Formats: sequence, structure tokens, C-alpha cells
Amino acid sequence: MKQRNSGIPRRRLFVGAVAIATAAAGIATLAPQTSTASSHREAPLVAGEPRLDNSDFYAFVSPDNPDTVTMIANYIPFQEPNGGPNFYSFAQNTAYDINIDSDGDAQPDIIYRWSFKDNFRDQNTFLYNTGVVNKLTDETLNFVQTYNLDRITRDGRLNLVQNGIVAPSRVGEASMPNYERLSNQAVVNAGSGIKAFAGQSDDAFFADLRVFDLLYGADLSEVGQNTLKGYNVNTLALQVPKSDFALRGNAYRNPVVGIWTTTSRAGVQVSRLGMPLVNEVVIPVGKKDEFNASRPKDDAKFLDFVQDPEVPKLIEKIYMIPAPATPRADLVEVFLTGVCKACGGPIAVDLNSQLLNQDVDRARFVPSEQLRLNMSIAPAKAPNRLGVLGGDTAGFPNGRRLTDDVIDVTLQAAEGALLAGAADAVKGLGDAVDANEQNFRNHFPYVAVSNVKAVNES
Amino acid sequence: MRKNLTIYRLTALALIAGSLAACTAANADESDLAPEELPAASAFAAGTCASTAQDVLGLATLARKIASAESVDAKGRGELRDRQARIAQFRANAPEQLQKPLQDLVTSIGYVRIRFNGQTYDPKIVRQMDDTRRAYQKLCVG
Repeated sequence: MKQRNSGIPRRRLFVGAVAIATAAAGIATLAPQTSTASSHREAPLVAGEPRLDNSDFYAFVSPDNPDTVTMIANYIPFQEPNGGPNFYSFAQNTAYDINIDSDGDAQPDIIYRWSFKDNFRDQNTFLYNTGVVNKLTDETLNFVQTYNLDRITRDGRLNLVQNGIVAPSRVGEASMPNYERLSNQAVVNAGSGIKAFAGQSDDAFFADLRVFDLLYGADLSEVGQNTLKGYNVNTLALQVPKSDFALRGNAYRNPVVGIWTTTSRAGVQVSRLGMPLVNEVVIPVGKKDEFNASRPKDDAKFLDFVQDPEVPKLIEKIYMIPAPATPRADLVEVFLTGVCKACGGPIAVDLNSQLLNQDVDRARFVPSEQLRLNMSIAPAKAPNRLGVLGGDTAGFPNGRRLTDDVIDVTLQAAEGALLAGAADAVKGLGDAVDANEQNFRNHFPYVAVSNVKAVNES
Repeated sequence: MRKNLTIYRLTALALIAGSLAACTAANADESDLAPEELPAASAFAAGTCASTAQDVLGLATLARKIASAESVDAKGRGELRDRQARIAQFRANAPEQLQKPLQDLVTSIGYVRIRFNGQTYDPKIVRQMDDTRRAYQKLCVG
């Protein structure tokens, strides 16, 4: 379980890797196959496959290292902290991918791929750990999951981390008396300014999920309770220099990237996530599995759901507040093209479309659902939870930070907050859950340390 | 002794509950809604105006009660909902000059309801509802 890290210059490694990797191992083959198969339990199939279920995805300019971008993907939602004896691990034979589209053609230019392996030191015990665990390499940690992390482009595959060690599930105070130290040990410096992390953490998402009880109890009265409080997730985090994935490697001329995650088992994609809440509340139930198996380049088939969303109609039914007129060009801009003056929508601001990249080929631009980030916008010193709606352009929907209140932003946007003449009242809509209970770390991987108390005791 | 204690506790609870109830609809006199002398219902013009008069005037009274409150109890929320529903019934057949003001009133009540229910209440939302109500009322009473 030696963690590889390159004293060797990464470019040289890359050339070597290209020689080995075949073209078939490139982007084309690695692109997911279409199949009707997978954010928190948002689609029928993936709800039964929590290890493949990407519940949330975040991407932001690293606040303590602003020449880099941090991406965080969470899996296996609703982990009860005491859920032993096998606790929570990533799936084997599964590709956990973060896809980067820097030229706006709705296809990945770079894929960062994690693949995992289970390792037991002693299979003749039921224990996850056989004694106190102070270090990831302690013999007392019976179950150890390791991973490889590769960077894949059309030119081939570059290994960034080999046999990295996953931070284990937090078993309890007796087993892991200093879990934060253990978690921090799982941060791998992969060279060239890249850092990686895999392991358990507190679920950073904060929301009142009673939204699904006929829209917060049929009248938005069921709000104010963070349903995710106390639960853990498994986190993949990656910090990469901006130049590593900007178009032509130039983040000054080409600062915008689109990012989404996919999870694929045996080559079949079962989960896809870019912008939050799309598959939860924009895509109808009959299309959710299809969306999870789909590729951004084919997103035209989901256009109607973005242009004519369901939530404003529900609110109109309950509160007699007229839904904004459709088709919703504002939401198309936010979800499908990114926001820019030349994007054709009503939000005449240059924010986060790949069309803002100076070297982009406009003719090849394809509208698609991605989490778009303009890396040239510096991190806010005092982030506003409402992101762009709160006047903070470093936040959602320009990427997504851990502190961004995407429920409130999305609800307000759905009710027309981005449209000219929007009622003042729209700007206060939300679920009355405004922040995560746990403080986030102020360094990579930023997510809060996983919970140890049973949810029914916390 | 035990009986006295029970009575004492019940009395204390009643006092606390009474105080809380008062708080909910408190500060009516501290409302920054502009002073207004409400017209009689009979002053509303015949037709849609007269049909909506009781609810429009009731809304004016309610607005003064809730404008400075931090929350509204179930009864208040129910009253908002019911008055909105009754006013909304008259939108379709309202004379053209009343249609938009009536719709604006219904919408503004909706915003107050959703903001109270969603625990994101802001007094200015009630002020906006009251402004909308006054605009409609002015058309009706002249």
C-alpha cells in the first residue's frame, strides 16, 4: 500500500503512460454505455445501489490555495455512524469518475478516475479493526480499502496515485481516538500540486428533505430541520491546479470548465451528477434512471423538463403564486449553457459558460447539464450562502461550495429570482436550513470529519 | 398539597400560554403600516368589489396584527389561506380594470403565506400585501 508519488515530472510519466495505454483505453471507450440504470437516492435504480450513488458534487476555487480548484464528490448517503461491522466502503470493479469539459462540446476532455480494492488483514475475525487505530498503516486496521487514481485523456492514461489508502469508517472513540488525524493522513500529495482524498466524512449537504412530503407538508410548513444532520457519506476529493484542466492549459484565456461525475460498473453508467437537484426535482421519475445513464451530449432530450419545471406549478397550486412564464430561458442558461451575454438567455451577465473561453470553438458548443465554474473568480472572503443570488459570484451556480445553500437558491431561481422584475418576496424563499451543523475543515479536503454518535442520539 | 401544586402548575402554564399567544399577534400597535380609516363594506362598488369587500377589509385588519409579528399561529395562517381562496374565486369574472389588481392581491397573499410557512418571514412582505390591498380597495371605493 505504498502511495505513489512522483518525484518524476508528471509530463514524462504521462508520455510513458501514453505509450502503454491503447487508444481504446481513451475517452471513447471510457465514455459510459447507455443503459437504463442511477443525488441522495434520487432515482429508482441507484436508490438500491448506495455505493454507486453520487449524492452531491462540489467544485470551487480552493480558498487557501487559489491557484487550484477543489472537487468533492460524495457517495453512500445516509450512513448511520454505528453501522458496523462492515461499515461503508466504495464498490470494487467500479469507475468513480470526475469528468471535465473545457471546450464546451459536452464531452469529457479529462477524466479523473478512482478505482478501489478491498483488503483484509485477517479474515478470521468479525472485527473491522482489531485494536486501537492511530495510523492508516496500523496492523489493527483489519479492513483497508486502497485505490488507484488515474487521469485519462484522449491521449491515454496517467496514474496519479497508486494504492492510496482510504480513510476508514469512523468506528468509535475506543477504536479511533483521534479520527481527524486519521482522516488527514488520507490526504495524498500526488505531485504537481495535485492532492487527493478518499474516505468517510460528515454529509456536507444541508436541507430539509421533507420537501418530498408533498412539498414540505403540502404547504411548506415542514421546514427548518436538517434531515442530513448526523449522517455520514464517503467522499472523494481532488485538488488540481487550474492549468491542469483549463482549455489549452491556459486558465487565464480559458477560465471556464464544466464538470460532472459519473459512476460506472462493468462499463455501465449508473449515476451522473453535475448541478445539484437536477435529477431530484427537475427530471420526472420515469426518466431518472435514464438521466443517470445519459451523457451530457445527449441532453437535448431533457430540455423540456428544464424549460417547464414542476416545482413552480406545485407552488402555484398551493399558494396561488403564478409560475413564471415558460419556456424558461433563464433556467436553460443556468443549467444547460452556463450564464453569459452571448448565451441567448435573459441573464445578461458573463459568468460561467465555456463560451467565455477565448480559445473555444463556438460551432462545437453543445448545451448540456454540467456544474460550470469560472476559475478566474477569486474565492470570497466571506461567502454568501446564496452565492450569485446573494451577490457572491464565487458561489453557486458558479461552481458549488460546501456552504452554498443550493436548496434555497434553486427554489428562488425556480420562482424566477433571476428574471427581470422578480418579486422581492421570491428572494427569501427557502427551507429554513441555512448551514451545515458541523464546521468544515479550513484545509483540503475541507469536508467535516465524520460523525460518531448514532443519529438517534445526536 | 398535591392538588394545590397541580393547580399552581396549571395556572402557570395558562399564563405562559397566554403570554405566548399574545406574542404571536403582538405589537399590532407597533406596525409600521400607514394609518388608515377603513371604509364600510357597503361603500364598495357593486359586483366584484362588493363580493370581495368583507375579505379585503378582513385582510386589512389581519395585516395590522401580523405586520410586526415574527410568526403567525395556525388560526392566522388559516385566515390568510381562506381569504385568499375566496378573493381568488372572483378573478375570472372580474371587470377588466380589476383583473390585474385582483390577481396582484391574490399573489401578494400567497407570498405572505409561503414566507410565514417557510419560516422566512420578512415584515416588508406584509407591507407589500397591504399596499396591494389598498390599491385594489381604492379602485373599489373610489
